[in-house]
Amino acid sequence: MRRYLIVPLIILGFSYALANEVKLPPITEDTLANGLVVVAIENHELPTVAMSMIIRAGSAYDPQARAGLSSFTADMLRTGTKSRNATQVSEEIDFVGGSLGASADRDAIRVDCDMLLKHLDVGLALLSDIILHPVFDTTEIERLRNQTISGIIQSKDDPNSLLVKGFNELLFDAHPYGHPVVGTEQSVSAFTQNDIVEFYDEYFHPNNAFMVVAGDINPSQIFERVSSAFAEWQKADIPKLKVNNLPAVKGRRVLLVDKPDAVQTNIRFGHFGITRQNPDYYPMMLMNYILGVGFVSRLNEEVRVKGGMTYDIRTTNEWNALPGAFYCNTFTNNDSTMSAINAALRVIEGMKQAEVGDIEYTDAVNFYSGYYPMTLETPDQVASEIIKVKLYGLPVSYIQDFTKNIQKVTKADILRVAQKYIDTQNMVFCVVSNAAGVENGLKTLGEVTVKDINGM
Amino acid sequence: MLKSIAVLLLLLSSIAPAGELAFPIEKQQLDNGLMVLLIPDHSAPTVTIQVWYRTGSRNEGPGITGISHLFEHMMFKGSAKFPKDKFDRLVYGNGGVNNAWTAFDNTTYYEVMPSDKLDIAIALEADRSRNLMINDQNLSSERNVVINERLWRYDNSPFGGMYEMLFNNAFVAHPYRWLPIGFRTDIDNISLKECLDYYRVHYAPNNSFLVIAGDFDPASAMRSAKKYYGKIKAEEPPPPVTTVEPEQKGEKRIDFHKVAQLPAVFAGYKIPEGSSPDIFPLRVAGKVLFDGESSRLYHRLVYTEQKALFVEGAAMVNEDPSLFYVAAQAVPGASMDDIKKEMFEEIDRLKTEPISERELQKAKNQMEADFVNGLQSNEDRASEVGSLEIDTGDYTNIYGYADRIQAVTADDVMRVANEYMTDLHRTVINLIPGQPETPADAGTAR
Repeated sequence: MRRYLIVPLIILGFSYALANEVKLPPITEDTLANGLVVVAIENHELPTVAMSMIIRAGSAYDPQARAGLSSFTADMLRTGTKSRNATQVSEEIDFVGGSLGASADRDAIRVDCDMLLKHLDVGLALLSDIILHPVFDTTEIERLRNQTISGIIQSKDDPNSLLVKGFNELLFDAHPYGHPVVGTEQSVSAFTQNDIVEFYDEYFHPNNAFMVVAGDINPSQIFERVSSAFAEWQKADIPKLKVNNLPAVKGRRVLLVDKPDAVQTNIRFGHFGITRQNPDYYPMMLMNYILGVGFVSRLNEEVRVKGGMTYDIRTTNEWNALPGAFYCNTFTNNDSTMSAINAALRVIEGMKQAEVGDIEYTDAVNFYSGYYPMTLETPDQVASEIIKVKLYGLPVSYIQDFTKNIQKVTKADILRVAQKYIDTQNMVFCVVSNAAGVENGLKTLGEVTVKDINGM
Repeated sequence: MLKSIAVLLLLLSSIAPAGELAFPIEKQQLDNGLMVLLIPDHSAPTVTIQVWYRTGSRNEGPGITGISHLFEHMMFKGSAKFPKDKFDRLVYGNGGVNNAWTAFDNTTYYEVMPSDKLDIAIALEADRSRNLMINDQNLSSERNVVINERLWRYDNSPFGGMYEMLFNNAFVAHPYRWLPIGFRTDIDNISLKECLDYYRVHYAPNNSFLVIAGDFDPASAMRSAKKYYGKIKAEEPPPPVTTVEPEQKGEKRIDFHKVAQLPAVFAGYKIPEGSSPDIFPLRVAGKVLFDGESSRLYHRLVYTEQKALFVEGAAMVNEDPSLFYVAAQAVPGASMDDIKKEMFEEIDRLKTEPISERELQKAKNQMEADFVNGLQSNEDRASEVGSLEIDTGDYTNIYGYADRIQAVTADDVMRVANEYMTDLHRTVINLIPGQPETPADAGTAR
């Protein structure tokens, strides 16, 4: 039995919206009989369609000692179904100039398929086939294993990959966000066909997924077609994610990844942040903007513009389902490593000392009030925002109310969240550099552990 | 005073029913030579303005390589009327964003603003095109920023380094010999006077054009353009780039030693300038060889034989003759020589066997989808129109674009493969990893 409910969420018919006003294309939502929620975003500007299936089974769901299984399972989807082998899947999607791919992040697997409207049939057939009928062939598993391990080895040449890996391990430890999404050489070596099949069977169910279709579509037709393409997909009980407690960050610890050929030092330091659902989301966002986002932040002014020490410095709140990190990221000449870190720490600490100035407060509020509606220009951008709403369980009014909520934040709120959530005395630091040149300086921060890149 | 007005509609009738997909591009020109291209679209409350200066590393010479890019950074230092903090406030404090990029052939600045803020953006761009206030002090700190950018993009990255080596070696005379980032010692030594001379000549209205796309009214945009740019005088045009790269008479093979986990190759064949009709069949060749997992080289080297971690390649389209690049990296234990041999074999096969009807159609479908997807946002449209103006000398080439894709034949592909993709015109950069021992886990990957 199919419940066929079309719920118009928001339809704004103005042809000229006032600036600062969110202007969304028609968005409708339906829940299929098997529990799959489908959201259709209608935009007829170009004859294209983008479909995304989101499955709540990201790397946080990797079983113990199977780091990377979610990502590996996602990559396996394209490698063969009951009726198409990997080459046939590639040939069919390439022939119509479309794209088809799956990838994992911490919280979810996302399977995307884009094509011109005239090739929608081909795209939908392939998307449903790889989601519903993957065979996880053992030859393909070996092929993907070799490819994945080669990629992990190659990533050791990339200082930023080393930095992210080192920082997350140091901060999250055994927490589900601690391991790399792609896994490690050791964990990927150990995957069996059974591991993949079990993971798939556990999480790939319509009640653990939702789909967003954006572009040149008619919603009722799309619901009909998606419904028939995914009709056989069965509901099931989904195991709850087991989450370890976050390890406390006490004092300052430094992981120095020794890359003796490095001619530049990559730096990331920070501690835990807040979840996406935390009511302090809006003040944190403004605090972070003033501190370290874009070309007008305090950190950019101090470390890049005045100091000439970097090309890029920023702070980031990771917005995930579970608490992510709050961190500062930059790179600098090896010999300015400590000046850059110390300058950044001073600026970050400064956020807790006094309320932000009137001008920077007003500019930050005005920035988001003007900028946010502009980030909803293309169907893909609207789809990304809808995915966030669904994935993090935000109210549907979130998009329309964003600007209003930003404008409610006061200077006192910004100071309060800085004082509540920033703690420069209790932070972890990951530094990728030629250890010989920077180790002594880093010891002034706290205990330093040195690893070479083969240990990463 | 407006010299000419032309309104053209981009119709993609081969992709969508005629009339369904159309957006107008209106061209206007000020007396001082500034061209303004207007692409209105009211579907979202945002407007993009891009200022394209017809100058890039192509217009540099030995001693001042990288000046276009270094100067691009200096363009954010402010003027008397709009000091840096005021400039930033007017953009970001109004909910806008801005940035810039420097390439071989152009330097482009942009603002993306809420639609009612276009006038401000035009005022800011006109002002900094002539009234910048730069000095030794802000040049010196920005020089360090650029040095850090160079370290990050090229010196601290095996692929960045290979990319630079390819251009350093493929070209001997033409300024594509160096990348827009420039050589390190030139970045270290470019003087304030050199920056100011460069600015005066290359940032004149007659050496630039505006593209405005999004939710705006063309008539009022033109009033703003005239108000802020109208009084700026045209300058003598910059000296033309007359150097023509002499014909390469043999393959160049260069070993690039750098610490890396896996060997790799980056190679390039000389191909003609962006306005050449041969670019389309060369693009088709790139699709057949590299685009998608069913492409010839991906399927052979990455999928079937599992020798390469990745392969990629494409025609690089520039104002002057450029390169068709190909690149690959070996998986642990695979022979780079085998990978190169097979890559070059597949390229040579294009010269003797026509591609199949299905491959040709697939490449066309891919190019058609790329083209449509490249027109999604206002920024995409402005960039597409601006790049075509720079690369092909005429933005109106956007109109025939979809038809030119369809017109390519299998014979065209064979002809251009024979004409351009010859060993004699090839430059090959071999990444020789500086760590001799294979990583410990290589055994799990063949």
